[in-house]
Amino acid sequence: MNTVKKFLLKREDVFSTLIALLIAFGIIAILLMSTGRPAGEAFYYFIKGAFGNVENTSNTISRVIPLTIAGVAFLIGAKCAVFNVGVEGQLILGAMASAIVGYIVHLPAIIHLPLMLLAGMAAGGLYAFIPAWLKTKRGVNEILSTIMLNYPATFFTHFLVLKVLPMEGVVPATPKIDATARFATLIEGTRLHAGFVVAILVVVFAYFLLNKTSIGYEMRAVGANKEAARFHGIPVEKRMITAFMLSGALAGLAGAVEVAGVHYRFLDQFSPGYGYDSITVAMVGLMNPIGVVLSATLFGALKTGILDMSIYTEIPRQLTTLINGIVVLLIASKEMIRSSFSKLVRGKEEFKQEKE
Amino acid sequence: MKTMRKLSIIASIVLVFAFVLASCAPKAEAAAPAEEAAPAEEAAPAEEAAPAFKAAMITDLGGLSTSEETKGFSDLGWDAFKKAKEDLGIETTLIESKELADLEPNLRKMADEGYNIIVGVGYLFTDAIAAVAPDYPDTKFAIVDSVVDSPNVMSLTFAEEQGSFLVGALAAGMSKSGTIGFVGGMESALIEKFEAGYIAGARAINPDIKVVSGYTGSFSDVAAGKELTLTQYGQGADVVYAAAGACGLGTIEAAKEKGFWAIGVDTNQDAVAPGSVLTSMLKHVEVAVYDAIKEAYDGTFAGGVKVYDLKVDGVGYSDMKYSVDKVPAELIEKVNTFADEIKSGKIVVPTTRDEANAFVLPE
Repeated sequence: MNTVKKFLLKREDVFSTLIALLIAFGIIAILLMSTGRPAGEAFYYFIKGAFGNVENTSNTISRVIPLTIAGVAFLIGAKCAVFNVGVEGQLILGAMASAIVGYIVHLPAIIHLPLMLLAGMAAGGLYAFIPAWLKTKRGVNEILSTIMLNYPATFFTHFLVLKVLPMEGVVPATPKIDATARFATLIEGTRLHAGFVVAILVVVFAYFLLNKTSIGYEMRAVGANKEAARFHGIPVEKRMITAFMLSGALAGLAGAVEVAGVHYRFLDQFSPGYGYDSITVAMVGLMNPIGVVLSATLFGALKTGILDMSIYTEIPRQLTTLINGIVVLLIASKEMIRSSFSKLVRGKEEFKQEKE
Repeated sequence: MKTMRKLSIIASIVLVFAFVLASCAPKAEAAAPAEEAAPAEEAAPAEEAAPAFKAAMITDLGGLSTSEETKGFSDLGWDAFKKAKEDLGIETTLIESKELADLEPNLRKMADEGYNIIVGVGYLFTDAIAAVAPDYPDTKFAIVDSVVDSPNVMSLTFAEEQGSFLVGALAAGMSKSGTIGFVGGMESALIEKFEAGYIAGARAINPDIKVVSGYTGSFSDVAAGKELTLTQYGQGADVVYAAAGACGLGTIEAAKEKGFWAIGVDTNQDAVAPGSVLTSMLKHVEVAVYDAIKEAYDGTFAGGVKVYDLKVDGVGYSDMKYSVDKVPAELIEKVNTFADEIKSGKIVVPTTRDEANAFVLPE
């Protein structure tokens, strides 16, 4: 009994997240049933839509790829006390830079594709340098500066697409990138592309950086307590700039991977807010690279699963937005669940004692 | 410690899946015998009995509007589906895409499901339909506002510049200040057609007219539409035409507040603020989409480009139910003459801003 208790308490953040998910699905089920809609059928089509066959699973994974990379991008910053809300802007600029390299330069695939991804990372990383500099040298709150910097990125690319770069037809987009700059499609007729390898590498990289290197250790130390870190001789500002630019570079990479794997060009408005989603993904993933993969899978599945649900059942489309919202809300309020969880596991008396 | 951590992560994955599976299995059984049969369950056996003609509509990011007042471009497409369902007794499905990466999978999904015709509403479908259509030669596709060259794709395009020409003429005729405004949404070649037609039409009535143009950068930001319109009003514009989706509601709101004329777009928006909307430039997406469904149903579907212009009543302007008594009869007559001259080819309406600014009415 005691070992079970210990295990539950040690990972209480994981369990409280799962409980939050359960409650969210419970609420949705009640909501559906109370309006006379078959909840079982809805969940069935939801799962089927997300993982039911090869096509659906592939499409889900293709949504998980940008969410994972962007989620890790946010996480790396957050681990070092840098709240990079500018992932969206960095991602968009990264996508644009990579698309330009993809169609202007002509090289063999073995150089072209990496070069294009590097261009995306460089664009995102350099763009993140602006708020990084502002924060460390001028003390500007990075949440505000990064939010504001998302707008110039969006409109600058919009301007490039419409006024500067050549446009084919009526679609506001850059010309298509060369075949040498594209990720191979792994299953014909689906969107599953080789870019998922990049996502895996990013997760592994983040895990090793944060847990196995001294820079990663110092970054986490800054995140845990800035003053203590400074006291111990860690170059706090330097680490924060590194984390910020790394975060931006990964955000740019997420955009580049979307261009190389899905759209084959920069499309105005291509991002449905992956940058903003990245924050939720990282939070739900408990600020852990592997957790990010799981939570990205959840949100990717929500995107693809809800579609089938709305096609095959008579669930009104407004409700599908609501479902997404309930899941996020419940997971965001998991602190509340955590304390009740911990109360429940420990027993009331023990909990009281600990509080005192 | 480390293994513990790994274990718990694995455990959590297993738990998630276990829960998810558990949650659907028993509930599915529980839901089935429930007396109040859901519409979806009723539809299922009918589907098996006879393979009905199935039509699917997919929207781009715009989606459908939630109220009658804010009806826009995609809603007109869905109106056609509703009509087709009633008239032809076909099965219809709607998908609202949430992001651009979804367009192609959504098209494939409906094609795999055996839908007979799939309509992509919006030019953003260009790439997706071009990629999907060759893989499904037996499925018919239609795209609104763009051209895809494939034998099983019908490209439905509109001569927005012609309709805009007529409302531009009306605007110039009704303006007392000699300045009129144009509010665009996201800047694109498509919206430029609206602007060009509007400017040319205004110049046809009054060669010295001043047209102030601006773009909101959005098709949904009502506040931005209002703000831009008020700026143009400040510059002296007393008639403002909005080709900006829901942003146009902001234009109408501004017109109502300050007491000048707004011009609606796509659908008949005259009733949104009776007396403040001069007229609406109509784009009969519902006609074009219905034609496509009907032809696919009748078996007369042919790929290629179909242009919906004034000649076939594909575009036009509203009947001005609430404003017609304030518009001089000579002006309406003149506008109708322009319409005839456009139909006969005497007037060729420009489609770019530069051409429009140089437009001179042919003698």
